[in-house]
Amino acid sequence: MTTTAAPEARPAERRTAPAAPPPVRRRRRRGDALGRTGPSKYLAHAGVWLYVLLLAAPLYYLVISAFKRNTDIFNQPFSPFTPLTFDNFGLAFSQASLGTAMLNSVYVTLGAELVTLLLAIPASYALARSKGAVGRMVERVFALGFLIPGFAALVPTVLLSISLGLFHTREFLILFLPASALPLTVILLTQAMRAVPAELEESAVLDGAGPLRVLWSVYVPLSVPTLTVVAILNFLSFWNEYFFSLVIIGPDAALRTAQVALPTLSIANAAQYGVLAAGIIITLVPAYLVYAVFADKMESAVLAGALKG
Amino acid sequence: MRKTLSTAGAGAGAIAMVLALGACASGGDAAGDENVIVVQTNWTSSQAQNKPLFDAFDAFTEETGIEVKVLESGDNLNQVYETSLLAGEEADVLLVGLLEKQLDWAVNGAVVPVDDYIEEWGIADRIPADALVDWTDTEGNLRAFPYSGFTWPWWYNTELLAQAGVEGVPQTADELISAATKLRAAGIAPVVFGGIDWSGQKIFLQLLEAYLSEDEAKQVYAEGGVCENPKAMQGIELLIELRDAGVFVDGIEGYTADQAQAAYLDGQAAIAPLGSWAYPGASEELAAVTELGGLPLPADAAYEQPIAYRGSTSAGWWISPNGEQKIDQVRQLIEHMYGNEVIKGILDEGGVIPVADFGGDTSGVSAPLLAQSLTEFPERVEFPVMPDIYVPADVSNPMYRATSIAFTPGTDAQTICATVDEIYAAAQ
Repeated sequence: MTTTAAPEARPAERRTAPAAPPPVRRRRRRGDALGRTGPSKYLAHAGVWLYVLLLAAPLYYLVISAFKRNTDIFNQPFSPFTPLTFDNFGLAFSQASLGTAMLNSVYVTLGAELVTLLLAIPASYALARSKGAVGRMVERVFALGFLIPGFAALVPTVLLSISLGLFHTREFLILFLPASALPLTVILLTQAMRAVPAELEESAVLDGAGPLRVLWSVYVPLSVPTLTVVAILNFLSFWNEYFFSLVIIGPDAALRTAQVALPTLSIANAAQYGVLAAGIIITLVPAYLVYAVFADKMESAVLAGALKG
Repeated sequence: MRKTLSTAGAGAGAIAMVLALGACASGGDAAGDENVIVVQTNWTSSQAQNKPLFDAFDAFTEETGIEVKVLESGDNLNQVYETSLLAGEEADVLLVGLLEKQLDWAVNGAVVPVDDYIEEWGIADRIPADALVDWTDTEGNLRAFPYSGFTWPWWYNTELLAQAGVEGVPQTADELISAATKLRAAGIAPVVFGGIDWSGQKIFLQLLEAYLSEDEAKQVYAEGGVCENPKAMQGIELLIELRDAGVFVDGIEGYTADQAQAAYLDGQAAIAPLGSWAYPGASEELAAVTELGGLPLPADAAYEQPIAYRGSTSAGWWISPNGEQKIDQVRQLIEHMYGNEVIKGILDEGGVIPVADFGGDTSGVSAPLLAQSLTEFPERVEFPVMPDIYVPADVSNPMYRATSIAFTPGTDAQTICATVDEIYAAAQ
């Protein structure tokens, strides 16, 4: 029995043997699929959620601290189950004169933004149309701007503001901040304008348009997504600028920006972290609103760049 | 076309807004206006205890017609002031403490020495001699008018001590070790301070000078050379003894001053060295059970009683070169601020300890800890040399790291002193 059973079994094994590879291949494919939907997927999700938590934790800490007393911030930093108060917001707004300070920030930020765009748009247009070596060289000079660290420019900048008679003024910042923003702005805009089809410009020229008309009616409308991106990036950079504003505009409550006003809420021996956190949240609101309003355009510009790539 | 128009509209709107905001505020040249005195200070209006100061400015304007424009600065005051000095647009007068960069302001010409003015205006007689010494620099310039001081006692929560079975506030190092052991056994944190920042640095230096005379302490603070000074090394050995006996809370080397203050004010720790600026933060209940004392020392130390810091360098009135241009108006302001009524208001309502003699009337002081610090506390302790005005500015901040190393378990005396001496050597 045993002798007959064994030979019968072998053919059976042989019969199944040729059929085995496809299931193995299938299993391999299933294995790939499992990589996407099985344990690896959970691992990937866990990693993503961990990353989200890492990003969200400081934001949560900032927000919850804005509603707490100092002692609770230190003793139960992440707990929401402590006495919460809205008073910190009122104190921050009044004690740091945040109303005036935010108007000053809006003035400096919008002013610098306008100057930046007024300089960057024609410069980018010229560079985008330029075909020669001089144009390439000028574009590289703009790129070199990235290599200059801000602090290295502090002393000459202060001296310049003094010699121009613009020390302790907001207007100097409006003129100075664009210098730090121009390299990135010009490079991004130049690339966007290079993507404008030459035929459109030729058509406009045939219709009698001069260079300024071509820039305004052809290049600018087609560069709006990139313009939005650089405008948002510059807005955030100008709005959050602290050191030059502190040193050049100074601490005068009538002139200082929001970022300079905030630290007066908390000094070494008498820190009021709850009030400071509330003040930070108040000054974050305009930056968040700008981003929220223009987020769609920014995303579509980035997406358009990705598709072109 | 519509997109172009909307872009143009947005641009025009932004330009209009910028022009409108530009017209909104104008600083004016207050520094050059003889009827305005510009005061730069880190006594910000956001601190409730500074209200009497701002009230005093208002009263001064009412009396004299001279406007006081206050520039409120945070911890970056010296940097902002020095930059504005470069432009010749500095404030006329400053109300700020004596530490770090300010130590050299008179020598560098950033401010005007006030030796003559303090005599002429009759204020010198009201300032204690040791305060005048503290405010005088190495070239003999009186840097500013000393205005407010501080006490830096060790706070003992007698309720928590009693809970742990500790009878009375420790008076010797052995009693402190015994108290810490009992507190730990009862689950209560013993001594807490900011082991990683300026507050721990002061406690580190307090221990360092436990065996030093005043002159020796001044020399060590100014020049270093800790490893070569046997008495300074005794102080470090004392620190190690206390540290290894568990006197300080676990992880003290990572605590900040704010965390330490919160731990004491919340009743988590029984003992903390906290400055007089913390008095307003204590609840009535905590103040009622807090006894202000000092750091208890061994019998062979240089002091017979526990030691604690006090100083006259919290704030002074500094006169800038611009201020000297309108010295008559500045004189009126300074004389007003040294008036008994103003000083008593700042003491009684603001809890700020004045340097100037104001007649000793503390009857208006309602804050219990402030009252205790003015009456019983000075009897309980001795006051060693306050290091701030002797430790060079370049050494002060790097020493925070040495402090943290010193309070880290396992660090030996040689490593601690070598770390401090390296900081002094690097600063030379």
